[in-house]
Amino acid sequence: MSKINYLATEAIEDFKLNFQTYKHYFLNEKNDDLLELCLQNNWLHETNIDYPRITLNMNDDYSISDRANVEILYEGMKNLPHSYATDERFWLGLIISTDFWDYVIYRRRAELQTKKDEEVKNSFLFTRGIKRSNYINCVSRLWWAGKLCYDPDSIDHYRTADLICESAFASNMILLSSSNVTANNHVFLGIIDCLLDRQKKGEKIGRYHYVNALRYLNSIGSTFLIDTLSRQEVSHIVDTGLRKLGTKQTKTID
Amino acid sequence: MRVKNRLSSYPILNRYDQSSHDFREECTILSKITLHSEFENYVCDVEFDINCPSIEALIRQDLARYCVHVESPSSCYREEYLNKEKTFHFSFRNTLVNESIEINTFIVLIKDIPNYHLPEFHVDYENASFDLRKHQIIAIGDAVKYPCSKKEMDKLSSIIKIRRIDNDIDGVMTVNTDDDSNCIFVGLQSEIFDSYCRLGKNDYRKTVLSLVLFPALVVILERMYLAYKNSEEDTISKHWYEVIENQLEKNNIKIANLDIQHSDLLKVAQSLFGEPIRSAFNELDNIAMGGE
Repeated sequence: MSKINYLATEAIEDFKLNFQTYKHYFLNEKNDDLLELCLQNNWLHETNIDYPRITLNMNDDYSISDRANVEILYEGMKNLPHSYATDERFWLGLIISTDFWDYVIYRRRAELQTKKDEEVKNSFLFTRGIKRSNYINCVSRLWWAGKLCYDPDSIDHYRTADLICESAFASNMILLSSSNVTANNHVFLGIIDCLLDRQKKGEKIGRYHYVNALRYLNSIGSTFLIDTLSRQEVSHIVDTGLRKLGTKQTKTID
Repeated sequence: MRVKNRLSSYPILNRYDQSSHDFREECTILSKITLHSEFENYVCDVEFDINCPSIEALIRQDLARYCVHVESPSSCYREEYLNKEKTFHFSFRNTLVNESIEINTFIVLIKDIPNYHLPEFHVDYENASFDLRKHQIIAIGDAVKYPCSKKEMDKLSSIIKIRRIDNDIDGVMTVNTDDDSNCIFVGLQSEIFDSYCRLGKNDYRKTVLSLVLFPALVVILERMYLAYKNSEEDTISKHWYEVIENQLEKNNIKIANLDIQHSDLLKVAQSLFGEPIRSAFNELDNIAMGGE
């Protein structure tokens, strides 16, 4: 099995600084030209990570493909070290040198068709802070969603991904990136347990639920060490918080 | 995790908060934290030093624990380590972390305590008691932050990169602070970049650096001030912003206090860069005297 290539820092810097020079490569349906350029300039280098040989789902309905791909990508690269998983060079190397390029073209079709610089850049390059960029990029966010959602205690390890992918996956990921507390797996699963429970009882889960759950946890974080809470305790606290705040209100917490 | 100094609804023994008067003056908490690399792991040694007999008793009675919270925000790593002993150590894999490691220390309850009252509370709380729950914080110790990837990360020069730009639509020199979280790009129009490379390698190094980096730094500082003033999280959260902010704070300079209307920016840029204008003229003087 071959290894994944990463893209050299100098290449990324050149792409960003002289974006107008390279923009037409990023608007191509195929990566052949850009890949050739990178090879000519010796910009691609081998990592010690095996290429997973996975096939991403490209259903017309993004809610179906996002959900499937969270599982496909994370299962295929579950042992990826965090230091790689946060690295733009790794993800861009993967996108440019493999058929992950086709996935980006598929998933960002509407944005790329605008040909606006920011939309094209955001489709490939990391232009925000490290964490936020990882949650925005259409490939890396699949891995990070898989990492967040992976439930070792459930037979269906990715059942929590059903909720965040069913609508507004991109927005949900950006929301989740805004809170560091979700980096703790059992805290995140506790939040989602509560929301899934409410959904089962007939409540429609939306942005307000994520915002208020995170807001409530943040507010009690000044006196509670959230990370020491069990998953069940987190779920109970979030449920209490949502009841206090109301699911569609934005009043401040007492 | 950043622990902010805020009033809490019950007394917390706080290493940093000298003004809240939650506890009597003689009560203190300190924690010594050291982190070192050992092959593929980071090893953290912690030693708590607390002067509050009642809190120590709570730990002995298995009602509370010493706690160390470790976080690497950019790699989404968070872990807490609880222990009954004042001194302990633990390790974690270095592949879990990136950019920086934030370590905070606490004492947390591991069981509910109704009617929580300690004799060491400040006299203002003499008759007060509180129903506290498991996981609540009762003391806050020291906190540290370690950079954990490249050794040069703290040095200013590694976060400002000078590169060639293909066109001069935006002028012969540009300062790009938007496109990358880790560094700032100073772009030089092609011919100028060639001159920079040629002259900067030899006798004119300081002069060339001063011509390029000094004005860039003035622009960067102004953008940092405006980002701070307008609460622009996207900019404030970037790594280069943090590195420069840390350098400023080491020199007792706060971004909030920069006065961009007057000569503050020039003064700060000069001191941050080790007086580049003076260095440049010294260099030119030396070259001129050598040529006579």
